[in-house]
Order: sequence, then C-alpha cells, then structure tokens
Amino acid sequence: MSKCHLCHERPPALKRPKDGSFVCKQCFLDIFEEEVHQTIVSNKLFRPGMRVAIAASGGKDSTVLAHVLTRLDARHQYGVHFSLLSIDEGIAGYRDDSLAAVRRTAGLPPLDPLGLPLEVVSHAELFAGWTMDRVVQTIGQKGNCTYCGVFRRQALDRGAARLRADLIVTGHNADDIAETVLMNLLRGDIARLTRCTAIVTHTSGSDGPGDVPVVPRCKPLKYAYEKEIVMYAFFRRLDYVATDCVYSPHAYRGHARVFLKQLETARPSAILDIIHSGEALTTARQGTRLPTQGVCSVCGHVSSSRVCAACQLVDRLNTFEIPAVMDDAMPR
Amino acid sequence: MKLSIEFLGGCEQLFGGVSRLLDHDTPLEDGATIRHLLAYLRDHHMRARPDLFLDVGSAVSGATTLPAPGASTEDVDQQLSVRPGIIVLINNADWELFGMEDYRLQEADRVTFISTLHGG
Ligand SMILES: [Zn+2]
Ligand SMILES: [Zn+2]
Repeated sequence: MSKCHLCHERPPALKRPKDGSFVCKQCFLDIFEEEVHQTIVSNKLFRPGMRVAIAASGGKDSTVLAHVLTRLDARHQYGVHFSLLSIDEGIAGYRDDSLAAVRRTAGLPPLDPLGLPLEVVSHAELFAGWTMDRVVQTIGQKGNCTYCGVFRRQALDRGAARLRADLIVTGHNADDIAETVLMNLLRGDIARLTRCTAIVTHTSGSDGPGDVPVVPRCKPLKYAYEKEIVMYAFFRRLDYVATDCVYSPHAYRGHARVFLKQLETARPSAILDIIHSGEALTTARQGTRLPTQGVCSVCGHVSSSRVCAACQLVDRLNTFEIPAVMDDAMPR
Repeated sequence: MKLSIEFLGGCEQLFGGVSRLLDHDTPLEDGATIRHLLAYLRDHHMRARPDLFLDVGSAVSGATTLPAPGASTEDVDQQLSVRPGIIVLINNADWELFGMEDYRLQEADRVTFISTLHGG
C-alpha cells in the first residue's frame, strides 16, 4: 500500500474527507491540531489574558476540543485561561454519566498537572427547581427540547459569568454546522440561516443599548469533520460518552442528519460546500440588524423582551400551561 | 476465522451493550469480506433494528435496488454496508484505505465500528 502523503514514510491510517489524502496517525494528529490553530489565528479568536470557558458535555466534540486547546496552548502560548463549563439539565441516567466523563477530562493532566477548573451549573438551581425530569413529568415529552434549549442557553451565560469568562467555546463541528444550514434552509428561517455559519456569535448585537455583558460564543472546530473528530478521539484514546438524551427524538433534525451523512458518503466535500454556501449567504445579507437588547425585568438576564424566554417558560411551568411547540427550533 | 470486533461511540448500544468481542470465533472462512462479517453480526449479535447499523443501499449513493425476494444470501450480502455515519477501522486504520466492504478479512484482524450518530 502507498505511504502517508505528508511524511512519505509511515503507512496511512486515515483517508481525510476534506481532500481525500492518505495520512498516517502521527501526521493526522499534528495536522488536525494545526488546522484548529489556523482557525483560531486567522479568526483572531483569542487575545492574551482572555478567560475562555470550554462548554463541556462529556461527548466526543467538546472532549476533543478541550484536549486540542490545551495541547495547542502549550505549543503556541495563547496566554489565555481555560476552564470547563458544564450544564446539568437534571436528567437522571443521562447527564450523570456525561458529567462524570467531564470530571475525568478536567482532572486529566495532558499538560496542566492541576487539570482544568470545572464549573457545573444546574437547571434546578437557576430555574426554580425545574430539572428536565420535572419538566417532562409536568408537560410530557412533546416540546420539552424548547425548555431545555432556552434554559441551557441561559445557564451557559450564567456559568460563564461565574467563571468571569470573556468567551465560550463550543464543540460544534463542520457536520453540525452543515446540518444547521440545511435545517434553517428547510424551515425557511433566513435570519438564522445567515447567522448560523458565523464562527463567533454575540447573543446581543454589539450595537445594542447599554453595557449589557454578554459572553460571545465561538466554534473552533467549525471546519473539522465529525469523522476526523472521532478518529482523533480514537487515536488519543480520549474518554467520552456517547449516550443519547432520553427525551430527544429530534425527528426532523434526524432526517436532515441521515440525508447529510448519505451526501457525505457519496461526496465528502458536501459538508464544507454547504458551510461555504451558508457563509456566502451571510455576506450577501450583511446589514441585517439583530433585535436590540435590554434586561429581563424578572431575573436581570440579557433579553430582547421585557421578560426573558427562560422566565416566561418557568412562569408557564409554574401554572402548568403548555406553550406552543417550537420543537427543534434551537440552534445546536 | 478468529477476529476481534469492537463496537464504540454508541454502537455498543445496538449490540446489547457489548463493546468488545476479543479473539472471537466466527464461522467466516478464507475469502470472506467485511460484507460477510456484517451479515454475521446482523444475524448473531445485533440486539436492535438492523437499519440502525446497516445500509442496504441508499438513494443518494445510487444503489436503489433492493434484493429480490428469494434472492440467495450471496446476493443480499452484495448490498450490505454500514449505515452512513458509522466509521469502520480495520486494524486501527480507516477502512476507506482498504476497499471498504470488499476488504478480505484475514485471521486475527481487528475490526472496529464507531458511531458518530450517538450523543454529542
Ligand atoms: Zn505521515
Ligand atoms: Zn428572566
């Protein structure tokens, strides 16, 4: 068999989906990390002194992200402070396993003998005791993802505030983003379609009123194929969990995912092509303004309406009213 | 033929929680390919719906013809692959380097299935 296309020495271990090249394990681990570094540098994601919270679910993407970032930091000295931020949605038997995996990652010393500091924020403490188990007991399974999405988004903001973080990085990969482009296209959600490929997103428009502190989110694995993330985790023997949420059938998104994987099998470049299409749409629609931001009159969190989405949902739960279903409406 | 077979990344959920069959005796003989292994796993080890693990030809890849009723096992096996989104490794390397489903298994090979469709 042929040799690795990069070192021309060792036998290849992987065919790269982005360009079809054959690479050996060592060259793959190096180039995968360096490509994430290029994404960080070319998009100026980090500034020295920044506090960066890594949103950690215990799954493959955020586990790989945490490992790659700590390795890159040791190699390139970003001068940022990393910590792990996990959300406990209160789902027995699902979140318990994955939080245990995050704790193992935090304590794992790839480079930092102290491990990374970990902050766990729970839905129960933030939202009047409404764990997802209790939400589902109350409203049933239909539409529960709306609650989870709204609560989790705010919980991430609040966790980041506790960590005094300047930036939240998430593990979204190229396949996730292509899937979201496709979903927004299928729903005709042009506003989200033009926003979902951005590598950095601000919940609040920077042109908003006042000085509402909102922590921007960014996706350093935006151009990393899911296949390569899984291979990276496999070669580095990373410890992650692959448990599906017990409440999330995600029927429509599931169809989009299967369709995308079929496209990818037939033509691997489809993933990056879809992302580039989304980016081109963004450029074409520059100038779209985001709603102006204020603060929630109940909890004080950033909100574009008088009462924030989370407080509205808590209020409905408290009165056992079931809101209109916006299933699958959450950007992943 | 003796093989080591691994189910990772959520695949193990489709095989009753079993993540490793080490030095596992299979009825496969010389000349057997990954397709034969898939048929064997489907018939003897899967504990979930076969379509969660296997693909008998998808619309996108162009293989739309399903095997005719009464077709021999040989014919059925020619359609078999894993579902897109499941990564296959042969001796810790990408099966795409070795002809994928048509790879001819050898004694003591290690075959690893990793799902990308679970968790996240
Ligand atoms: Zn090499
Ligand atoms: Zn509020």
